[in-house]
Amino acid sequence: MTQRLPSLSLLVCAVLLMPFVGTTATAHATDDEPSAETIVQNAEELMRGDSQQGTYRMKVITPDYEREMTFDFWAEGNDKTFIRILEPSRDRGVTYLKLGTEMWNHVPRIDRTVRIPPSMMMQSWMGSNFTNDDLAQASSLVEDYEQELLGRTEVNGTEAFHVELTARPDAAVAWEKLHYFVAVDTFIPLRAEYFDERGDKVRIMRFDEVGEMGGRTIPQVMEVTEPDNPGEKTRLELVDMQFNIDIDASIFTRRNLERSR
Amino acid sequence: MDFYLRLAWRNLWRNRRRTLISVSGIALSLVIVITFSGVVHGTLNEVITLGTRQFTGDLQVTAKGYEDDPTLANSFSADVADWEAVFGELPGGTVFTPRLTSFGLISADDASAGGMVVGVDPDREAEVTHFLSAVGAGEPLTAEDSGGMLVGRLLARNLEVGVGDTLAVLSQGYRGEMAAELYSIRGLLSTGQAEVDRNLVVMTLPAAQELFFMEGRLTHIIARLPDVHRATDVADRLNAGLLPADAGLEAQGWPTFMQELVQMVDLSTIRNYIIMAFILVLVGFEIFNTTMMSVLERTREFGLLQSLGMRPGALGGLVVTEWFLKLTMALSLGLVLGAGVLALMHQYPIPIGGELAEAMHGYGFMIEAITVSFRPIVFWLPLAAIAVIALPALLYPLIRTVRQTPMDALRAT
Repeated sequence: MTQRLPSLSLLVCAVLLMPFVGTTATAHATDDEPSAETIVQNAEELMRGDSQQGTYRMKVITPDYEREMTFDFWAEGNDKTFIRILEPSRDRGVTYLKLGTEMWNHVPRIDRTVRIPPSMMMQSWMGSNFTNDDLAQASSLVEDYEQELLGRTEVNGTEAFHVELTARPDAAVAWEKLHYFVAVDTFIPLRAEYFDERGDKVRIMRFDEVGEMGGRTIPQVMEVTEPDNPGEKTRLELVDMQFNIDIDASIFTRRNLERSR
Repeated sequence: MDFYLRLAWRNLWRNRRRTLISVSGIALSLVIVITFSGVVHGTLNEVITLGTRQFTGDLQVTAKGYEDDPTLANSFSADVADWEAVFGELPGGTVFTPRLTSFGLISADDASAGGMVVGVDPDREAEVTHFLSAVGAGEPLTAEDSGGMLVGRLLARNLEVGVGDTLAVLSQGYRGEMAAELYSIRGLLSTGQAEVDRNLVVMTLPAAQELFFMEGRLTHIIARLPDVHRATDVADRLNAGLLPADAGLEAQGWPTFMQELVQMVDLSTIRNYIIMAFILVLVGFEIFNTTMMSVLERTREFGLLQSLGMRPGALGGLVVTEWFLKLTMALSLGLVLGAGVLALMHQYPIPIGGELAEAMHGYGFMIEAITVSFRPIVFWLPLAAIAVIALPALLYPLIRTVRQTPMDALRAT
């Protein structure tokens, strides 16, 4: 189950994993330094808010080919996400729904709704480097990590807080450890590094092209690379995004999966 | 020398009964060891061929790197006609079949599970492997079928579907496309190998190539060789230049990709050597015993010969020659009889029944009868082993004969 070139899976993962909320913090701020908790919460609030609705464009770049797609995106809190593919036209109308730890996928071309089965939750989904668990359990990242402020460092010429998140011993999470870099003066995330249980850095996310979007000054582009697969990268671009708006509850329903637009 | 030979020969037949007993004893031991060896190798052979010819093939050709990263990115473009030429260079009887293998989510109305999607050429596949013939319910897959598939029995049970139902296969295409298609179930595969029955869905090669957006491309060429034991040699030959140059392909024999089978074979080989070693120790004592007897019995005779002027060395030579003649007769007889027993067992195989058969089937080995092997090792190894073990058995009687003085020998009772 190791199809390497991620498309939709990467898309969903990137969107779901990018921001996370720190509800617990073990590190204490020194002097005027904010706590690790505050830093992560601020970055999270900035990037995600309580809810989001908008459009992303995603580009998968590999040595052999490039693939681009756009999709509409709705999210509320950490446990509700809905995605609808717009392009390519072949896949138009393909939908994904995540409710808590459960995930469904609907493909209009064959008129089928597929629930990602529990046995596949820890496996690579559709061959990507992400597990289905990555997608479904984004919310548990919140409670399952301990946060510690390691200090300040410089990322691409910007002064940044360096926060380390370590999985709690009893937490069933996909990542053992994360390094999160957040701009000191704006709380804009700059870079996230993901480590597996062997301590190997397996994924890097870069935040680029800060600009105006939905009334906020945020990075417009996120780029995911994997040290194991040089030459491949996934670029996720904000096309349009609104924050902290009321989303109709009917969006996050299974019926909506099958509704054509 | 000729004199000693004649003397030794006559000595052997002076006590006809003793010689016959010891010759037949050694011969019988050899027959037992050869039969044992033949059955062991026959069974191993059966296990190996059943293991490789069930699904994996004796030999596989894949893109380099597929082993570490078994994805569609590591596929290759292939024309079956070109491959006829490649395999035509190999010993006759080599057959091959193309395959496209990937993974996907197999989904029924209410349930879904991860599965292995295999695209095959049903007609060619049947010449190379057995798994397609294990259709327990429904019908086999035909080469023209573009909308049907065979599903592993356990997978179908988990998804609560049967023959005639429709399943969706969702996966990712060669270039990251979303692959999704519906197929109707033609038949259920019931190979007995849980791994296959729980994971496999099989469709025709063109259907799989269409599903994954990769017309004309394959992940595997699977081959069956006349001699399964030569898989590694043949793979080496293919890699040494028979495979199309610059195509980035590699061939591997089953010992490379079926390590569990290799371990199993190694384990039973060691176990068999231990059993054989026990038999050989007994044979060693048997030879020691008869040689010792023939020497002790003639202590006075040897003493007399020595006092008449025969040198100890010559006496030793006589003992060695007798031993050698006896051994040669015994081994020749044993070899002929052993081969005869194996030939009989080959002609009239002993069926395996009852619990043993069920246990074997549980492991996915459809072994119906005890089969024997006629590989050279079945014969030369026991032969060499007995010859080697006969050497130390000779040593003590020989030393004793050479060392004894005529006085002591003549006084012996």
